[in-house]
Amino acid sequence: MTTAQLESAETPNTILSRLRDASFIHPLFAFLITRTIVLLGGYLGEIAIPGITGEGLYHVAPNNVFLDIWARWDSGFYLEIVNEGYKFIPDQISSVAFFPLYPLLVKLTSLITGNVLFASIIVSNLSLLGGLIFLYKLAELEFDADTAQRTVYYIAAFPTAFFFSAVYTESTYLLVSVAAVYFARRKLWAWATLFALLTSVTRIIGLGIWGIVGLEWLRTHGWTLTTIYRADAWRNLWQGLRTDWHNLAIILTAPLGLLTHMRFLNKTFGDPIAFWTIQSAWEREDLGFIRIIARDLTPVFSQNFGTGDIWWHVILDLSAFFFAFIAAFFIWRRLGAGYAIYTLLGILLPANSGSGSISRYILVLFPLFLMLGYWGKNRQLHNALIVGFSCLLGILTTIFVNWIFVA
Amino acid sequence: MDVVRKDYFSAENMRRYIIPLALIIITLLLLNWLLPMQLAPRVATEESAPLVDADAAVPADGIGLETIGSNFTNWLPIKGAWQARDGGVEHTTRTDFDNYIAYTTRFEPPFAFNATVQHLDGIGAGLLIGMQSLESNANSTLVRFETDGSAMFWGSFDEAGQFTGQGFAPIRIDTLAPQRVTIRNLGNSYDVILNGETVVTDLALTAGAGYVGLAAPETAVFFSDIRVSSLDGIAVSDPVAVELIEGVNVGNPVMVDNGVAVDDTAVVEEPPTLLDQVETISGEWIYEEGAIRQILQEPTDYVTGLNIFGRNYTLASTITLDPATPDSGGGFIFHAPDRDQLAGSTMVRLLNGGEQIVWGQFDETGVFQGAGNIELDLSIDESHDIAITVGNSNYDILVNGETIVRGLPLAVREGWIGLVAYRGVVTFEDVILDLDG
Repeated sequence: MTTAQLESAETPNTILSRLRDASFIHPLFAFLITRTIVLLGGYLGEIAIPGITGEGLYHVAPNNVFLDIWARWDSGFYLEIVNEGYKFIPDQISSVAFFPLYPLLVKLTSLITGNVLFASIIVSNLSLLGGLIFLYKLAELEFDADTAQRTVYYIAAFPTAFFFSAVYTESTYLLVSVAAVYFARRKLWAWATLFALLTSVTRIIGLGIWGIVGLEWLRTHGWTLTTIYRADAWRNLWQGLRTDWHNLAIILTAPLGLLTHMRFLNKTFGDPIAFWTIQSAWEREDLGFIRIIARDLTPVFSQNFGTGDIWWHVILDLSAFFFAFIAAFFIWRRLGAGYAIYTLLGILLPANSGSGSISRYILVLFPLFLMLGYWGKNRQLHNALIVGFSCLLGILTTIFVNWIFVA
Repeated sequence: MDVVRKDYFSAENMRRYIIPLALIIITLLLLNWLLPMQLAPRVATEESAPLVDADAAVPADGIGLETIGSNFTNWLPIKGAWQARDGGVEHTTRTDFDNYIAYTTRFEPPFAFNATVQHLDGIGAGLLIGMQSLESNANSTLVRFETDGSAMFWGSFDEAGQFTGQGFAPIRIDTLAPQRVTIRNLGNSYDVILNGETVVTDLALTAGAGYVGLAAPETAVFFSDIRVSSLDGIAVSDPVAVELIEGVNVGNPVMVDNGVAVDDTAVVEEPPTLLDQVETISGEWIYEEGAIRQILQEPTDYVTGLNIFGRNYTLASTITLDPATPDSGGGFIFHAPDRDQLAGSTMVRLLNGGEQIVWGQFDETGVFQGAGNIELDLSIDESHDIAITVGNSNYDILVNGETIVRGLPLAVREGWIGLVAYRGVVTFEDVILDLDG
């Protein structure tokens, strides 16, 4: 056998070999196991528990529970965008608040499936699988294979991870945001920019990913937020600008995705920031996150836990907030400022006007799960997280499908 | 000197730059192209797509066909258990009253809204036009079957969703057979057509433009061949046997059997009186000289229906009991859910020859459950004026012009009206239904 043949036999770069790769196998198992929990919880929860009915509590596919359970609450907006296009009714809750990548992917997929709801579920779940694969690769890059394995299980089994399979944008956002950061860490700037661009048309917080990519480019050229006061850091940056300006130029194109969407909004509704303008219809008070958290935290201590007369989802959101807030400092130390700032922005921006749904918002703040994966090397903590997350995931899924607000 | 030529299209450059940059450009072009094409608003507006025929803003065959079967989200359930079925829309259960679904396209008049209505369990389905919102029936106009299949009635919802009836036509239908209902929306007025027969024309319309919808109060029903079309080929003829008495339609039944009108000759020449419309439900009632008399002697309540479904009215009659039967009684039945059933109805009547007046409700099994009574000590040898004033949520009882009970609660807001006699020869004269209260 020649040397060339030997190399070929030892490094087969085939699809089959990639499918056997740990970076595919572990995310796939995390996906399958957690989606089984979610599917069983959702299905049994819907058929066994008498659901509440009332105005606005729609059932998109009442004759198919397997599909119907994934469309609740905000799902209606995405389905409306796909079916009827965007709506912008000033001062009224309108679908224009939502970003277009997910509805576009659903629309294109529905051309194949012929059913919008089914297409939505396909897009959500495939995005989740893709997101887990990129997250595994990123965690492996930042830490090691064991941490990567734990990270994908933690995020897929997180108590609100049923949103990844629902008609929501969470899984699509996870895929494009993690991919953007992964490619940035690999210094594949054009790829990172492509995904950062997609991130900016998935959610408003997607611009934060552009920031991470930018910070990563700066770090590559010896400039970080912690060395900002050092002259050599600035010299390094100047050198980087001279030698690597073309990559920076590519990175700067990432917001073009958002600008394209804004151009569309301006042409259609005469308001390029309609997604922001309409936020007032949600009646969120812009009080600042400290006042908001203090306001929402105070009644928690006066509630009667014995009778169960409590705002449990507020407690869930506040727990998520404090967990992310505290973890952000550890992320700063272990993973760098970019990840930490992104995490903080991910909770502080929404918390400025309300703590609602933060337990869902942190689902896509992957640095938190990288950190959890790192901490999970402690066996007791790992076991507690796996069991606790999985149980809560099943319970919250049954609650969600029964039209009870979770996040 | 060697000249080093950069290979811009090396495999490394392709992987690192050219492919992703090409994808960035393609993505931006796609976004620019797809956003306005796929996600721009598509709901027809007054400016963009007034519907005057089926081709303007909806699929060629009208709305709700293939789109519903595969894409149910074009219909927006407001309340109830709705599902797509065989290219139509089905409401699957009999539970709850306010079951509505709306089609998410606004239509501009003139147009005709058509649907074939096949009741599966219960009767009461109908069609809505002029809905101003996809979230409620406020300000819309409803045409639907009465819950016992004996009538069609129509009216409109106000801002708060309160229904005000505009009229009513007795009909006879095979309740399980498909019935083709058409509403001609002319903008300021509308016509109702049942199985090709014009039921009523030129009714005042609250709102012409708006969404269309389907209603299934306490009814499992299948709507098929749902269309919004132009008015071409959907003409009206003379309405069948519908007369208006102070706003309440009273008429001889439109005889309809499986969609074919078999008796539309019963047009009354003279304006009918209330007693022209009576329909015996039990007992033996004799109509003579402007009075109606029940003559059987068994100790039970005999009922004759006035063939009127109503709400908010005063019903009065001069009642003469039977001096030969000391426990005879007479009065009114009202708010009956079914035209020929006592179950669920409210009764007010004289008791024991006028010693008392009693009120209450018949339960689901048809057994009277008294809610109260008052000693009157009326003379059995004389006639007495008995009246009830029925409001939205309560009613008053008047005896010989004097209100003796006020504000009795009502379980339901509307229903069929009739006369009730207990044993003996009980005579009702001057039966008056006053809609002004």
